[in-house]
Amino acid sequence: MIEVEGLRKVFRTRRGPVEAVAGIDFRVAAGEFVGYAGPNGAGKSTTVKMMSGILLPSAGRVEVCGLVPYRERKRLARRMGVVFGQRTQLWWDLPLQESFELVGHLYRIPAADRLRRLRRLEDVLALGPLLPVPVRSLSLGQRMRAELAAAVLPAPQVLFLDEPTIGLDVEAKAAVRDFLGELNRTEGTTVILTTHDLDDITRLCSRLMIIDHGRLIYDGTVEALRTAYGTTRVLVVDLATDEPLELAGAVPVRAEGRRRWFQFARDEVSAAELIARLLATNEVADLTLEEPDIEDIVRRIYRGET
Amino acid sequence: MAEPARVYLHLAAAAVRATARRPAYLAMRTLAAALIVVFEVAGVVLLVDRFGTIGGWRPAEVVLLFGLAFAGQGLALLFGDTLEADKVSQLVRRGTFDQVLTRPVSPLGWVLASYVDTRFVGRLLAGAGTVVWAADRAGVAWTPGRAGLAALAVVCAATIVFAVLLAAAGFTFVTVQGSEAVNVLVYGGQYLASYPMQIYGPPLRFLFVWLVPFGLAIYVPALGVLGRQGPPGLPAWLAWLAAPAAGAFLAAGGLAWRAGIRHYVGTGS
Amino acid sequence: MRSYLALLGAGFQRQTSYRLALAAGLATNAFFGVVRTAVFFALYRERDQVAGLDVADALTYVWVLEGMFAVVWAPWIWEMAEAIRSGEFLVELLRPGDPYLRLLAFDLGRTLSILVTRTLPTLAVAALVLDLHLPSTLGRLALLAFSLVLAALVSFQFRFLFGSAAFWTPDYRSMFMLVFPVLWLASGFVIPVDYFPEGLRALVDWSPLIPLLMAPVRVATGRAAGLAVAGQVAWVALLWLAGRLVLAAAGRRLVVHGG
Repeated sequence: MIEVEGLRKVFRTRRGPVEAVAGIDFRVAAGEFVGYAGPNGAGKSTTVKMMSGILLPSAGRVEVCGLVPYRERKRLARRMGVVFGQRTQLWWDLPLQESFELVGHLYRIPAADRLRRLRRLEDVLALGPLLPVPVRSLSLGQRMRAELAAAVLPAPQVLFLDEPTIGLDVEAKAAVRDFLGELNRTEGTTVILTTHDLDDITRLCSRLMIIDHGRLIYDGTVEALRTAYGTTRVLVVDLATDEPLELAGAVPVRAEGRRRWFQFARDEVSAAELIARLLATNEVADLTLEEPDIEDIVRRIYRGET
Repeated sequence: MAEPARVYLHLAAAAVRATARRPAYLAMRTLAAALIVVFEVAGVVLLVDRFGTIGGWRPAEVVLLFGLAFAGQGLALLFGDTLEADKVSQLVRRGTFDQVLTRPVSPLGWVLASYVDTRFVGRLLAGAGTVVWAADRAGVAWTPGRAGLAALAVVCAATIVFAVLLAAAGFTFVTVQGSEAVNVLVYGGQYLASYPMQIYGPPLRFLFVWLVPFGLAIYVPALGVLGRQGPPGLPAWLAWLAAPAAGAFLAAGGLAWRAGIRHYVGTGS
Repeated sequence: MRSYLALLGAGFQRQTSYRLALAAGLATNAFFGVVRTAVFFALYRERDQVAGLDVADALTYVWVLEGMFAVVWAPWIWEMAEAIRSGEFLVELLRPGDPYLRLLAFDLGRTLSILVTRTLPTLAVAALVLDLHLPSTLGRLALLAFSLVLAALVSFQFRFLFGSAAFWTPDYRSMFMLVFPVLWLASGFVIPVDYFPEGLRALVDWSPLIPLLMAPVRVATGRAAGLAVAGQVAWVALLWLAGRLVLAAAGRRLVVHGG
């Protein structure tokens, strides 16, 4: 579905040439749900722009749905859907219903097909009561559901999502994730999800690509990433009383009042063991386990630590 | 692969519906636009009337030129206002143009259909009304030929104004800054073409007949409508060149737009 | 007092920083000036004097108009109105000192910048190329400068009055839009008011629009210069009064409605 080979993009700025994407190779098969992560300025949006035909690569090959994006932009646009987290693809001043109609016209969806698909999307995304409402009056969560519906209405083969859950509350995020997961499973839509949200990735993506400084520094499953690089976890303990605490097998990294943070290596001691040890000798009000942060992992990968 | 015009009509209709939310405000803007034409023309009538003639032309004949120029400008801006350099510059700076490129339509069509400023309907209608009034005062007997010439003038003038906006928009993709100098051509050109060309010296005449052919678009067809001969160097039969000249100008504008898009896609925002 | 002068300087600096707009503006002025000049040359080809003006008077009018265009129809006209609608203006009213004077000082700084960077060069170049009726003595030149500044003041006062509609309605532009065509013609920006038929001219000569353009033109050409300046001063005073009344009413309204 997507083939990228030796992709490069050099921008000419006042400070000299800037290499935003420095040679990237990957293949995405039809039906994959790929997470695309990396620090800001890493080259994520530049890659996506080159894949969607908005930007001309400086070198390398890119093919999406069998088309060269920048050469067959309109044909590709028919087969792809895009959702930007911060910006809207809908018609701001008009009722939502009209945005769907316009999408139907734009993508030349036969009316019967459009109505059928729309009815199903309405159900799944609970859009029914929102149809007569002008888009500008929708809440962020409502609007996001509407954006997804509009992007998916033409039954695209590929869906590019840019931070779709940003700023949403827990319920809205869950709705969006459920929908995307369902879409990928039942329709086989290939999804490229650009995000900073670790939960998005762990819940939805079968595969994760991490880009930093224009290079792909990781391409594999999320679990493999965690096992390979996420070797440490953090146990956060809320003690019943403010007292010094030592925990064998774990390193104290932070203390604030009654809350203590302990870092431990997952291959040296299990969380269960640690917690048992802790509860045996201390009165604990509450505790949580923190999984390694993708940002942390990225930083460490880049620094060459394993 | 060209999109059926239907798609753009739907988009434009949506744009009109979006602005129709405040019909009273819209009506006021349209009326105000028409009034500007009326008062400007009134001033010209008062002026030329005081002197009797200008370049041998009577007030009503000059007003005919004004009407044609305003109508053409109004027609062009009705659609072309979205191409105004400031607006395009904003599209680029806010990254909204990226979204335009993800749609399966031509970016030009999308931008043009994204907003329809009905204010210019006021200008167009007032201009047309002025033409009718002026022709009546000048004693013009309308024939199909003369009506055709008047329509030709309006359409050609509109084409040239539109082409200027198109070219300027293309440049804005490269410079990203608005260009007020374009206003000189759009508004200055209209103003210049509203007076009979023989009052201008050779450099201005050359510039605005052969380079930015407002003179060919408005003055020469007007000669035909008024049954006038025109000065040496600007005979009435040049009206046959009006359409090709406007067309060539439009093609040039289109090339500039295309080049601008190519630059945008090549370098990103 | 010093703070007002500081605002004046700030306004001046702000406006002079718009280099690109200046270049474009000068080009526009030059173009329209040239076209208008051609029009008057053509009009006066077979006459010496019309309505008491000869061709040099008419050309002087043209180039004073072009020079003063950006001063009178300043592009920042709606800044205050937008600040009022957004609530930012409340801060301005709560600051110590006189808000009207502060606005005036800043605006005058900007218009002075335009006078220096656009009006003077435009007039100077036109005077070199064409035969204009510009003042020849130092005293009369000073009077012209004074008249130009008064025009800038009246222009600010109009901007203030129109902008203050924002205190009462979000549709502050509509009123202006409908009235603008009349302002445009009656202020002399389409044709010199002198060419109006007698009755109309007599009526228009008493309007507060005259100080904007026709007055400086009359001072420049030396036709009823004293009367023109006196008229400007009188209107500055009257519009000042109107402005203060409006500001007081607006202040009361804000106190009642909370901004």
